[in-house]
Amino acid sequence: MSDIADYIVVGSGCAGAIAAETLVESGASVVMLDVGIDTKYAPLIPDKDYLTIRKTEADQHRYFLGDDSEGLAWGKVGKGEQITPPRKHILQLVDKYVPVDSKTFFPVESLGYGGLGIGWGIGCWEFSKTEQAAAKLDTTQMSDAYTAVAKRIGISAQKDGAQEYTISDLEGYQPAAKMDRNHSLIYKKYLAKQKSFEKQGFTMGRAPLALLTKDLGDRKKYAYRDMDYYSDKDQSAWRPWMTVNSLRKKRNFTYVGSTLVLTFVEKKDHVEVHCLNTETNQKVVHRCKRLVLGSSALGSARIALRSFGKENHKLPLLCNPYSYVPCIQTAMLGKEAEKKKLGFAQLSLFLDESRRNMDLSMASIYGYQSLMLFRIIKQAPLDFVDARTIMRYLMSGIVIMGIHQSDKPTDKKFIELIADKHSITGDALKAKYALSAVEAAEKERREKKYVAAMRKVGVHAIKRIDPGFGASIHYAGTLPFSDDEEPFSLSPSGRLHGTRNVYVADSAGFNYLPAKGLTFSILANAHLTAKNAIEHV
Amino acid sequence: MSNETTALRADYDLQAEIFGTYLIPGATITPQIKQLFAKTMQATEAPLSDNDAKLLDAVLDHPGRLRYLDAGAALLYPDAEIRRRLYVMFATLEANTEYWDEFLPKKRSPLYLFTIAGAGIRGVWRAIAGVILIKAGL
Repeated sequence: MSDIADYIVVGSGCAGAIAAETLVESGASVVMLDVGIDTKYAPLIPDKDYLTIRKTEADQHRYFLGDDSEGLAWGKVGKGEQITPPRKHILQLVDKYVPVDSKTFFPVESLGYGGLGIGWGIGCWEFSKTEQAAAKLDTTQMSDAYTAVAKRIGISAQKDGAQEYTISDLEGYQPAAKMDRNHSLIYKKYLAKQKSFEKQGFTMGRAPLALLTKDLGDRKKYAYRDMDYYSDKDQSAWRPWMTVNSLRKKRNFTYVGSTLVLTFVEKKDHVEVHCLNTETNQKVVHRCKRLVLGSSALGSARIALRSFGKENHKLPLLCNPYSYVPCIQTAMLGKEAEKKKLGFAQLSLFLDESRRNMDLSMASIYGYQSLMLFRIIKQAPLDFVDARTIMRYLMSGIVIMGIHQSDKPTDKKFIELIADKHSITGDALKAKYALSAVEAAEKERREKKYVAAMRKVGVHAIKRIDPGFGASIHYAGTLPFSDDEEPFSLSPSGRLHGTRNVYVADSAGFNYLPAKGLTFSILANAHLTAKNAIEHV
Repeated sequence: MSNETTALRADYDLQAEIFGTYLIPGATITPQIKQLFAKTMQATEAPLSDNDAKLLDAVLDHPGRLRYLDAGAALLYPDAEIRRRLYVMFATLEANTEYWDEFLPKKRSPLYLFTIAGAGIRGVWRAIAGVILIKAGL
């Protein structure tokens, strides 16, 4: 029995990292199984701000364009195009090991060290109590879980008019970071017209971020270098790999990389976890007393379907319908580049017409400066020379509004595991996702309302871009929480029904997906699930 | 290096020179820039369609037509190979310390709007000329 760990945690992403941390803190022995592809670019990126790098660093093409030109994308907007070369390992080997067969749904999954958290926009919005209840999360414990996670990872936020949508009664957060000029101007104009916005159901506030404005342990406060799309220098923005790196220094934690978990089998007194070594392609078996799946709503569903031998069994799928809108803030035109700057989304605009803090829409507002001109120049229907003159002038005023809608399960949104002889695992995930006519019309209406609202603060939309379903990278609901012992559902504690010792710590359990980014709730739920797994012992 | 590889490399060097000085008039296209351009081209080399080959040949034979063919292709064939190659050179120059000042936003007076309007009008004029050239078989 000596080779049987107390817990095996699958995946090093947001859910896996936080669940593992909670388990390790309890003193249990924890093994993390993970494919864990890492970036090769981190050591190349100097400890300098974006403008200085542009002016002085001869090797900048390596991390801005990529050694294999992976940062250059021509033609139609594709999956993960927004991801910069130092973060591209998010997508590496995904088509090989976790293929998806779909004409309607194009998810972004990751086998990277830190999972999708590698490129997460670090927004940390709390779900409201109503949203938690609809998602079937534990409303009595989520507030404490949010606060516990906030203290661990470090969250900067501000109490403002949008507090009920952003941080609610969160405690233990740090002061918000300084906004850049673009965001400051938008927010100032919003405050001047706040009543008019509120009449239409809009509320704007600071986006809470997993970003340090004060040092926390070895991690340093944010230095406004505007390199957030490329580098994690100072570790001021929390990424799951930082937690995993810390855990790897503990005696009761073991990280096993190059390991793709395929199935689990429950034995009398332990769980067998059957894996594929991605370097040798050999099958490997690990053993534990309890298994915690944290490999995303899609990844955990794959493992559960395989383990129960259920091909062609449909599971529900939730994903925030999403569009993004490049806009120009006219008052910013002709302004020079900003040297000390925050690169993350800094404002959130909520549309809650019913004022129930439920079924609302949320737009995140981002700047653009450090993403470089070449990424947008191809959109201009002009020759490159004149397009450069014009786009360069517009660049200071460019803001991107990413609009998310909430999602509920319907019979038009599902995944199933199908046999695929070309796949290394022998299967693929088939996905189908379609909005009903009512959902599609409502999405369209709300997006138009957003575009009109932003005009009031001098921000003018260039066009609305619908990148297709799956592009929000927010997935949930594949193994929904249920009070009844139904197959492919989770008990309120996170245990997979039909098992005694298998828990799911990611968003697979959410019965409803609010428009607010789900990551903070994944972290809080992972913490709770790990606690439940400990208490169950 | 085989003769064929040398010829291909020389071809890419010529293209880098033409595209680079078109995008930034007066620019010195250094061996490093040429090398990066050639590396990307070699990594993404694909058979050219007849249309793409025709456009590319026209530009290499008459570099002065590039401004019109680029603009015309932006309207008629926005994903044309000639545009992709210009895009690669654009990105290569943007990520080069010599040319940061040609890409980052600068402080401009409101009068600069006339320059912007001029660029727009010039772009439209070039596009019309380019469409005519392309439709007329270059």
